[in-house]
Amino acid sequence: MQQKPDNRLKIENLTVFRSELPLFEPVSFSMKAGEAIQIKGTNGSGKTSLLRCLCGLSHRHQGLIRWNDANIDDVKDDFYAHLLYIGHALGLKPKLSIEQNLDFYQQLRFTQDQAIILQALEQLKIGAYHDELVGNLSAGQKRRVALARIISEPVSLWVLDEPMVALDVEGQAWLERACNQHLADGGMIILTSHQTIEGINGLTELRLNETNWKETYLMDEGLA
Amino acid sequence: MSSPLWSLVKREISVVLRSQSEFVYPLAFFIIVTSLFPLAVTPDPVQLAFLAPGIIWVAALLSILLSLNGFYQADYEEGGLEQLLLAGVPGSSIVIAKSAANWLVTGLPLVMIAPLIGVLFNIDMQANWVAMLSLLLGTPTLCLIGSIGMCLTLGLRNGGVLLTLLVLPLFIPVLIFGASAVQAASIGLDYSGQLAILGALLILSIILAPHAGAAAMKISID
Amino acid sequence: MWTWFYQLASPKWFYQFSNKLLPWFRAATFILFAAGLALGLLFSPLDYQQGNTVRILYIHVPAAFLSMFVYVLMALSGGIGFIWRIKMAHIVSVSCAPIGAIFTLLALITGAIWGKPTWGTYWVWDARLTSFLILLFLYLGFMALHNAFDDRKTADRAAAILALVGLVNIPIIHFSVEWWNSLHQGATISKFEKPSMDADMLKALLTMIVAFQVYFVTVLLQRVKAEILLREKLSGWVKKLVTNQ
Repeated sequence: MQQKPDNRLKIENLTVFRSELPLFEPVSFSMKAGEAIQIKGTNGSGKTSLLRCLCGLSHRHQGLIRWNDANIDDVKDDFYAHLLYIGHALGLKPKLSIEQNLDFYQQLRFTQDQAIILQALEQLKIGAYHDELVGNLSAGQKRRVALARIISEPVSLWVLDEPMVALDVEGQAWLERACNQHLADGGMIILTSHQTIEGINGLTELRLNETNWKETYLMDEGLA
Repeated sequence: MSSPLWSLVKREISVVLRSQSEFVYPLAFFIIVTSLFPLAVTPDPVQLAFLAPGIIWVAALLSILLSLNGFYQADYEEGGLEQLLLAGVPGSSIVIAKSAANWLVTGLPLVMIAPLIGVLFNIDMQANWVAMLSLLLGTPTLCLIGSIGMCLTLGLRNGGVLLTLLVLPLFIPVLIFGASAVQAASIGLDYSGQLAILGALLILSIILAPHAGAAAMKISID
Repeated sequence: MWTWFYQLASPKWFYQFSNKLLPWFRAATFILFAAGLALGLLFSPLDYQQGNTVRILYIHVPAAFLSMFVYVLMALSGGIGFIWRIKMAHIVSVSCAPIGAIFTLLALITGAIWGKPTWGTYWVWDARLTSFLILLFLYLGFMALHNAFDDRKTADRAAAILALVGLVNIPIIHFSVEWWNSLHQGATISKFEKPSMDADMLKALLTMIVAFQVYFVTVLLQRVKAEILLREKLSGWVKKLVTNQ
């Protein structure tokens, strides 16, 4: 694995805005090799928005996101080379086969390693279908294909949005094992989940607290 | 060749070729729309030959407009676009790759089928050649301009109707010079000026459209 | 100089600034229109060919001029807002759109009214009218796109890109339509401006152009003020403003 154990991600006073209102009270945290964070919060508390800002996809935030002490927008190439983000939309093409999908994402990272793809699919118990079109798979199987990327594209920072959703018990157990292995290898993980995850070693929790801006705003509207 | 741009074009094309809708529908649309005109206006060969350049060009323009959605919307909704951006592929490269694939899959077949429509509309060989040439130069511009409109409307409900409103006015110069080249050729006039302008418009849109499209794409994904 | 520029970019300061300016612009609009209309309708001569019909030119030409000018202003301020992320620039850009669209519509309608006695029909595919029709589509596209987004910042940035794309295209569209028109109609009698114009007519026309410009600034400031209030509704100074009155 091509880990750089000295990578650091630092978040300072970060909050995300929707329609000019902050979604949650500013959060700060920093993480280094071997650390994992679970972001918790109610529906609509801004977990997904936070992850999208962390990845530089969205800029609706205030506060600092620093990769090795530099703003992520300034070190985009280096940051993205170390980042794997799997969101609600899995980024899989239904008209391509499982293997073609995974192969394409490898190519974007300038690597091609069919063996590791097959190995990942094997671990996830979908190796037998590697030629099947993604469009013909069930939701849980699609999630497995997307998660196979954490094996087929070895990078140090995983950002996973609700990775447990649609996975069966077996799949969840696999994901926890993979996460533990990744942390042992010096990787970093940020994930969101509604449920409490017990199987990942040293997982710290970060709770997003709703701001009271909304209430005061609504009250003001009522008065005016 | 394993440069990301090329693998992107390859992926776009293979995805589109697997769902015949993107590939066949615009072409079928082109043929059906053009064949409506003799029924609606007149079967008289002389008048049809006079109308043919405009009909071919309007139908081609609408076919391209129809085809745009298939290259962007699904990719946006499935999360493919954001994964490309996260892989460090510049937005402008995505627009170029998608426009190239769009043109190869939709524009090129239109260019090839145009002479057949020309024959149905009774225009002579020379004009048929010019119809092909003008479409060859004009349709890529339409794909590129269309991609800007498409990127602007990606995340919107009713994006399709809005796309029409945004993009059609911008298509007008291409329509004017494209149709006029064919018309000039059919009455034996010089048409090189129109083709030269179509070429200039193509170059201009190759230079500018990917950047505008990329900026729009980032806004839609934000 | 720079502090002034920064102040201009602050919505609160701009709001107060336009409050100070507005009475003057309102008065100037009223005076200029009174003068321009009097000059145009009462004190300028008849056209030897067109008779009284020519007087519609005192509305048509300024409206046509402004419809182009407002688009450029809209696109440039949108571009400034996009590049330097200045909220005020977007507010100005967005406020320009409906005003410009109305000017374009006015130019089209007055053109059609002028066309009836002159050409014998309300609509001719004349280069000028066709260009304005397309310009109207561009305005409608801008407004429709801005309306389509729920989030105002996203809407601002997307609409700014569209306006800039339109700005690049306007000369091309204009040129292509002129060229198309010359191809199909030869030399037309569609020219509104006459090569040599009577001094009184020119005086009236220029007054009307200035009147339209001042009117535009008045309406723009008014719209900008409304837009600022809408966007800054959460900030303290707007709350104070609303509750004090």
